[in-house]
Amino acid sequence: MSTKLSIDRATEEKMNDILDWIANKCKSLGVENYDAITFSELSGQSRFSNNSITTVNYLLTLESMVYMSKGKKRIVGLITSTERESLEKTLERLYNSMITGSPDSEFAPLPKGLLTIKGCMILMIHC
Amino acid sequence: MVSLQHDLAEEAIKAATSFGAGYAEARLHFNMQQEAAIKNGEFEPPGYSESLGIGIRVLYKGAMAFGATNLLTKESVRELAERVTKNAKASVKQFRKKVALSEEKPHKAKWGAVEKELLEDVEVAKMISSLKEIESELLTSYGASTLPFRLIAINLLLEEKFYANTDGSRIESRVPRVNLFAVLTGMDSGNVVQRFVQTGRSGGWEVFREGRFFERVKEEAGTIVKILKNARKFTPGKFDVIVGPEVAGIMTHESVGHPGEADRILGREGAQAGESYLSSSDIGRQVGNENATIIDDPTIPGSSGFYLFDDEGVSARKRILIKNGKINEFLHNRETASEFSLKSNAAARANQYSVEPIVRMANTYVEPGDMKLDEMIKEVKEGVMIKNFMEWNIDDKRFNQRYVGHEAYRIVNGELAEMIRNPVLEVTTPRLWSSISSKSRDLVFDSATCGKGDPSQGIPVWHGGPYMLLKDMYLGSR
Repeated sequence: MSTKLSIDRATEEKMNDILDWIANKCKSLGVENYDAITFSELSGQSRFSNNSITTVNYLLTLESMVYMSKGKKRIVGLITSTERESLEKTLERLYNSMITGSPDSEFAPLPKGLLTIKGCMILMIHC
Repeated sequence: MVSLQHDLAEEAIKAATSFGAGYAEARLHFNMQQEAAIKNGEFEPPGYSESLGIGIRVLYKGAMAFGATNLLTKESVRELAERVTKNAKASVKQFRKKVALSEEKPHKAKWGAVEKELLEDVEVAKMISSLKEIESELLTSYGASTLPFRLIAINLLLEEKFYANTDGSRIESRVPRVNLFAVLTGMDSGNVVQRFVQTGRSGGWEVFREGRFFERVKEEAGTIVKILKNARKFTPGKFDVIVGPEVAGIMTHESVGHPGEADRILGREGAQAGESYLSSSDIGRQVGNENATIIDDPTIPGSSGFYLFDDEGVSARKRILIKNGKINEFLHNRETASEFSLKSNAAARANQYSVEPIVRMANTYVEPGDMKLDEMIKEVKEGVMIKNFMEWNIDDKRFNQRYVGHEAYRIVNGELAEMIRNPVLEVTTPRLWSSISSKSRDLVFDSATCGKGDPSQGIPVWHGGPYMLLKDMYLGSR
């Protein structure tokens, strides 16, 4: 199918905003290590069976995968909230789940230092 | 509880219509999932995820298009509706077979599963303490040398939806579900027995206690130890076989439910989920005897597959797939129902906002009989009872299948005798359902996650049944 694949500037800015919100919230929660990837996916699918197209699908999503740890406790969550208030609420929930969990005997901290990688469709922070 | 913005669904169908769609529907769909697991006494990092978005489906001159996004602003939703409608318009020529939907009564409704303790209020600490209790009980009762591998997980899933279509339907729903998964491996003198258990219900956190999840895992561990110590190889041959509710359940799901999905029958799933041994003209075909009545019913309260309206806004009802051995009805969505000139029987389900609803089962089971299990055992002179299974296989058309027994016993002169190891029942679908000689009055369900679709959609279901006596079956061994 002839779907033009592109992520517009507004979406890219939104992705940057989301990473900032995640970073700020993690810091305010007292998270020691956090890592987040925000990815935007634009995909098309045509289903064909019995000599005919049966449906045409189009998907535009913006999601964030967040890892956080504190005191050898860690958690990973997938967040699809794109609004600040709801995203922060989810991060709080994720943090509370992590804190009430047990320390992980296989825990290893993330490498030290700040790393920012900007790709064409994936934005990632790591600290 | 998430606040679903109903106005976005209204905006979506209004926009799709203004761009030319003849029919449009929008589904705001929220999923929350929380999981905690313990593996050999060590806790796995707990998982938590949420997804919220909108799926829009439109019909334009017989061309169907679907689109979804989680960018939930009026502008994004309008853009998506425009894009989806444009895709439908651009594809009209490629739809050699035009899509139509069955005429259905629109509904305005709000429904949900009964719940006492909200899943949103369940802290992961509570889940962890339940897991600790189970793990400690297993170790105290059996020891790590007998059960060297133990993985137990609790999964909470909350699903909230708002559905709107241009026919006038507006339906809001909320279904929480609690599931427990366990993989237990037992070892003794070089013998290994493994068991996967999934048990679950719809409802709040209270179902973890009421559903006897904890007791179930303990019982399963006890059975593993019994098999390791007592089960013996047996000589293959022809036997009368009693299968337990768990085996009856997987049989209904795999060899009745799946081949009865109308999209498979019409070939639409040929390259994905598979085909069916049934054809569209097979209503009334004899595939079993008078004892074979198989039902799929989404409306069972507390079930994993519980729903009162499907994801096309159609009111759910009990579906009798096989009635006294004859194919009675297929599972339909509005598209397949239209091809058969029928009303939909509400089998359209989508597991998240980003996928279109497809034809699915809900809670599939064999209608119980009127006997007691011990009366059935007394009927058998030389036979086998397969209480539950460890693995199964079935072909693409759902015709040839095999089930490998887990807890199984010989029956000699109307009494349960020694435990046997891994009897293998190989049979065709019509032969299986033509062999039922009697059924117990029990009706027991198990929880499962049914896979189908591309992108893959795991859907919560139940399957079950009574004990069934199958006459003159060949059993192999391994």
